[in-house]
Amino acid sequence: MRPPSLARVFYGAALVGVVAALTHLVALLAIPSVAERDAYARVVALGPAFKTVVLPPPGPKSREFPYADPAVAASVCFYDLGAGPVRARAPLGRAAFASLSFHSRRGVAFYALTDRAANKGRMEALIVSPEQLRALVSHDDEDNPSDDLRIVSPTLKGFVMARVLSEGQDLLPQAAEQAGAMSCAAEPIAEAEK
Amino acid sequence: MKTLAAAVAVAAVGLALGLWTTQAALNGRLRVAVDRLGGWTVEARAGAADADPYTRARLERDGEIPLALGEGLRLTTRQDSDGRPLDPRCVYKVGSHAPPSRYWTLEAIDAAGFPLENAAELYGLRSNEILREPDGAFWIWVSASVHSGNWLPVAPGARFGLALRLYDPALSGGAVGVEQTSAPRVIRERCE
Repeated sequence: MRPPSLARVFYGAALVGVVAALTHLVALLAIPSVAERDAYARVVALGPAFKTVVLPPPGPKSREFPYADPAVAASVCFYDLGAGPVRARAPLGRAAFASLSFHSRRGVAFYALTDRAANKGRMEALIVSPEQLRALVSHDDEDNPSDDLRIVSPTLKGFVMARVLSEGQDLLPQAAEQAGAMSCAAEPIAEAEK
Repeated sequence: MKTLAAAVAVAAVGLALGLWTTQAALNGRLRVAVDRLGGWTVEARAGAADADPYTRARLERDGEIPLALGEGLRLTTRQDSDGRPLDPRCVYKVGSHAPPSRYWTLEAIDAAGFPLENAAELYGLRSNEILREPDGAFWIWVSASVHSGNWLPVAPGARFGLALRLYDPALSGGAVGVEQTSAPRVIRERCE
């Protein structure tokens, strides 16, 4: 048997490279659509829509959300824009740092607010779909503009997360209480216009 | 017949290589789509709507809820400043400064990103809790056995990593390249 020519070996190696690159791309782009235990699925499993759930503090035995900070109390609330825009609201307590982050169906954060952006002692935002934003803007009163912070969600479903940093382990319960005071509720357009 | 065998071999090797590189890119063995800050890795775009496909795939697979851009940044390392893997039989000191932020926390994590089991039930240290030198410099001792000063316990017997979270950081995702010197160093002091 003749050994394969150099040209054939190079040709084979190039083909392997092409197959590898294609496999890599397909696998990478397929993961988000086949991942069943993504952050959104884990949040949805915790309770009904529009209900704030305080997450158990991360620990060696509490393994729900990886890379969560044990010094931070967190709560989540998942929303569905099908019934209208959703108002997310979190009061400020005594915590040194508090924030709200807004996550799409795909888990990525599309917006965040920290306590620095708080107004009247709370962090507040109205989550809208692009259509709802258009409807709201067309009804806006120019002389009396809405002071809502409107955030466009890239997907109809998603979730809000409140994070409250505790300044000591003994302050974690208070931080959890503050995180649990977040609310997210559907607000039909007619009401949001006022 | 020979051509068919060659085609099958090419397809099999190509598939295996493609899957391996995907896996390696997601578990961090191949450094794709991560920024470096000192010896730490940062996924600066993990908390942004325009996250790259690698970051997205990793987040979806792990189920992590990332810190959003503007909220905070997570820096992670599984090596000391000389590039050696962190070993629970060694004593490390971490310091002496952290990148500017309102608060930061330092946590020891296992391979999956969860806190480490330890008898002290101490999973992390906060920037407001630690002892500092008069000029604000600090050293945190990372070891399996009790250490005086700022002690962050790790579990004996298992490889670990360190997660440094910056809340309300002064550096944005885009400035990661600029502040290379501000990340704390992880210095191996001694090993048993």
